[in-house]
Amino acid sequence: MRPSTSAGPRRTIVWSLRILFVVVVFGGWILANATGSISPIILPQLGAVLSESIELLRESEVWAAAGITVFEMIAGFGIAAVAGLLVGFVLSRKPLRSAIFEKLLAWGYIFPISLVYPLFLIWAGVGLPSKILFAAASAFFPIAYNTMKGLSAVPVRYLKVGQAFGASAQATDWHIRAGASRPMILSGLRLGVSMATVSVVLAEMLGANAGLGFMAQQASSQFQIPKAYAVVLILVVITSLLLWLMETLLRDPNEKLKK
Amino acid sequence: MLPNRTVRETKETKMISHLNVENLEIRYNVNAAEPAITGVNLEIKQGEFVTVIGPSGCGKSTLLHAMGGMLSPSSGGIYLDGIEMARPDPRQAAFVFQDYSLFPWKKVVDNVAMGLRFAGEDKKVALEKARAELGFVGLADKADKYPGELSGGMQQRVAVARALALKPKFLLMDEPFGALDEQTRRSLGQELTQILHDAGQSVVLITHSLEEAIFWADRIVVMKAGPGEISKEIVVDEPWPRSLEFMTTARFDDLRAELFHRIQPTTASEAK
Ligand SMILES: Nc1ncnc2c1ncn2[C@@H]1O[C@H](COP(=O)(O)OP(=O)(O)OP(=O)(O)O)[C@@H](O)[C@H]1O
Ligand SMILES: [Mg+2]
Repeated sequence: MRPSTSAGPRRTIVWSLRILFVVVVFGGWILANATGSISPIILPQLGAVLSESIELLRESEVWAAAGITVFEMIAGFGIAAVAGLLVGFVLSRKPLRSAIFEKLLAWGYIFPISLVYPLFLIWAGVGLPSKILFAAASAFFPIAYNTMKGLSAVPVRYLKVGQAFGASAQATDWHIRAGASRPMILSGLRLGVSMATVSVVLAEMLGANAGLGFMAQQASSQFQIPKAYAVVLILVVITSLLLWLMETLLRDPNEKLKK
Repeated sequence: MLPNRTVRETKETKMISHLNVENLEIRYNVNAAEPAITGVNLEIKQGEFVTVIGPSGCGKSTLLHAMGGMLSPSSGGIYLDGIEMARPDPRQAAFVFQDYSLFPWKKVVDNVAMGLRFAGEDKKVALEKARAELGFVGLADKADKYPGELSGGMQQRVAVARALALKPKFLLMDEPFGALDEQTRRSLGQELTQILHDAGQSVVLITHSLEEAIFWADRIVVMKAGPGEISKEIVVDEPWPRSLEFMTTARFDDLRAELFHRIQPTTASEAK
């Protein structure tokens, strides 16, 4: 879900406060470092984290790890998107089918799939495939659910227009059902993106042999605290960029009008 | 600026089409005690402007939908030049619905082109025709907007353009301005109806407004409820073009008084 601050007279105020927030957080960090009130094992020097980050970015190791993480996220999301759209579409075709599977999908949506992550490790090993499958499984449910709901709740008046203008069955699916349900499907996909990213990072920390999550976990277990922070920082930046990119791609072109 | 629409011309050069409603009965529910409409007979000639008026729930929309092939008759039938209208064919009879029925996810021009695309028209040609039609209703500059960016009145004009793009023989309009405020309703109604009249477009227009029903009509179809039936057809033989002066004549007053009494019984209950 995106904050809806895209326009309005408060824009400058909102941004000033956001910047202020960041300044307060980092200011507090520096202050805590200076006074020594928080142990460096918990909160390392900000300077050390930043220089560690720059150091890390010079090494190919971190780029390889980042590549793996991003690949897992994209592959997991891709599989979930294809499967979710397909399943949602097929289930929406018949009221009986959607009635049967609605609860199941809704339940999969809220069930913390991370509880069964160990099973993914058993099925697919400790390498990439378990991460990808896990991310795909998490992202699948919101996508399938929203697709099914969106497609089966097309307002009758749009279908009536299609009928009056002689739309064929395919034209009705493509021009009317798909269009009317697009906002809901896109929001399912956006949810899927965040599920996939969160799941990958979580999975890499819970059991992996590669990726940024694994690196962060390794560093912290070896008490390389500034390094752990630096990896997490890189992870946050990369994930944010990925989320931002996908949100932009998956935005409804006339979404702003519906507010 | 208005393209020259040529139905008047068609009237002279080609055979005039006829839309016939014969002994029509529509039941939405087989178990219903009363049909929505029954025993309806009506003939509309191409080039005619027919208005339909009657109390709420008397079956005006039902009749219109049936005329466009959207409902299957329980008995009787709808015939276009003697051929039964089994399903909607927007090139014969195209609709403008009461509620805003544009697709919010499509640009205005794509909305207008949609009917043509459904009818199998090439995309490029359809879009060209759609733009021309938008020009016809005075909305050429809104072609690339989304419906949500337009006022209600503009949206209904787009819906009219969408129907006209198919060059239908009959244009079926179900209270197209009913959801608009009084002011917009008047000016837009006047403007659009004038355009349609000038173009010689055959129109069946459902309206709640007595003035509208009289002023634009070659013929007024008055309906009554319980069950829905045509209670009277009134020919308005005032010649065209009609000036607003017509509204001040004794003939207009008489017609208004007659309509008022005919639809009176339920007007109180529908004062919403
Ligand atoms: N889809 C439907 N299913 C069942 N009954 C319907 C349906 N549509 C209309 N009816 C019934 O048929 C009758 C005629 O309805 P209709 O909509 O044609 O009236 P109307 O004259 O257009 O009314 P209004 O002026 O309020 O639009 C009403 O009793 C209505 O309840
Ligand atoms: Mg109606």
